[in-house]
Amino acid sequence: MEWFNRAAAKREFEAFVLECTAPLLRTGYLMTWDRQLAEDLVQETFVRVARRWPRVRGMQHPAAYARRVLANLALDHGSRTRRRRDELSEEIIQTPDPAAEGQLRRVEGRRDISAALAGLPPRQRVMLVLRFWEDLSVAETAVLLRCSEGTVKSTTSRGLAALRAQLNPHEESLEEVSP
Amino acid sequence: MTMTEIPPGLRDAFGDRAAEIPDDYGAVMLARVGRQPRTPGPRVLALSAAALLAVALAGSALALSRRQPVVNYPLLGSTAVAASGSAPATSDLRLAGYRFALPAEFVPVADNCLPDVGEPDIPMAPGGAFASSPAGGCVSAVLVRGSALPAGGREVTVSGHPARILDRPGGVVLLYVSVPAPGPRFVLLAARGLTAGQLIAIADAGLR
Repeated sequence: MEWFNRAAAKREFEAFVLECTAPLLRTGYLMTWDRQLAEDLVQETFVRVARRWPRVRGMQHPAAYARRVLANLALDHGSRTRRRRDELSEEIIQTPDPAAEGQLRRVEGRRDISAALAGLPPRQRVMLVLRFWEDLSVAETAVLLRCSEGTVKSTTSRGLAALRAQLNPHEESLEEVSP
Repeated sequence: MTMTEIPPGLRDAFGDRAAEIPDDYGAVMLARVGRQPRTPGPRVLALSAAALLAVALAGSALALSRRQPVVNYPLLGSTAVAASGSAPATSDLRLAGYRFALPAEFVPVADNCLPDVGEPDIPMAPGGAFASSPAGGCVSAVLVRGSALPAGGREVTVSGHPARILDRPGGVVLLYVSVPAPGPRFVLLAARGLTAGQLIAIADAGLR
């Protein structure tokens, strides 16, 4: 019987990986805007899901659980990146990053929404992906990220505003919308 | 436009980037792992670890509580170990979640052991699993994209799936099995040193 259960669990997990890799990788790619990083995060997601597989396999929506893990990994990575950036010396921070400058010019010049998305803070991009790619509602996004609906609304609004600011840098009046 | 309106092109930008990820990426990754590369990269190791953990955790509770022999079940592209020690070890090919049990003399190998039979799918398919026997036999399993079974040969049914078996020079037998989407549409088993009936039986058991 153990053989059967172990084999069944293994097969279920492999089927889960087979089914979920592409959608998770797409979501991770959009959240991070970095395919290599997304692949690493998806792998880490599977490792974490595997650790809890006996419980996860019984869930109604194991894929949703995996998506939550992935989103949190993406946010954690974004936070770490930001902390590392904050730890840089003042001198380095004050030195313009030619690559970033160039990217900004390209955004302004071509109004490239893809580049604009790449320039968003990770948390805002994650929210936009969940809301407008995964088509989750505000409430669903809040549950997934374990934050308040107000946080979802305000972060999404800031993300959209940042996008618009990059796409329309000379637009003068923007209508503020409360969360 | 208000700040809460979605900028034009946002969904298209998401869609364009997401389209870079093929639907069959999971199968490709599993197939890569199933091939057991000699120098696995970090992603391969991570996936292997994940799957191994899943196996271990799923069975650990029962194994501990009943104090019966625990199956040590190597996951990816390697030889399965018998549960009790009394049963003979058997080999299998692992591909995209499928496991094809092989005759006892076959062992998994890293590289394709089939001769070139002019079958473009075999070298072109992403990843694959291979096994050879001391007598020169070889079996390969690969995933193949396609919308229709190849022409020629004869039509068979394998585990309820439409399939076609074809003979090739050098005693090579090809078995295309149409498997459910998503991803690659066919599993292609190719063998030398096995009869068509043996190959069908292997596929039939592996695809159940």
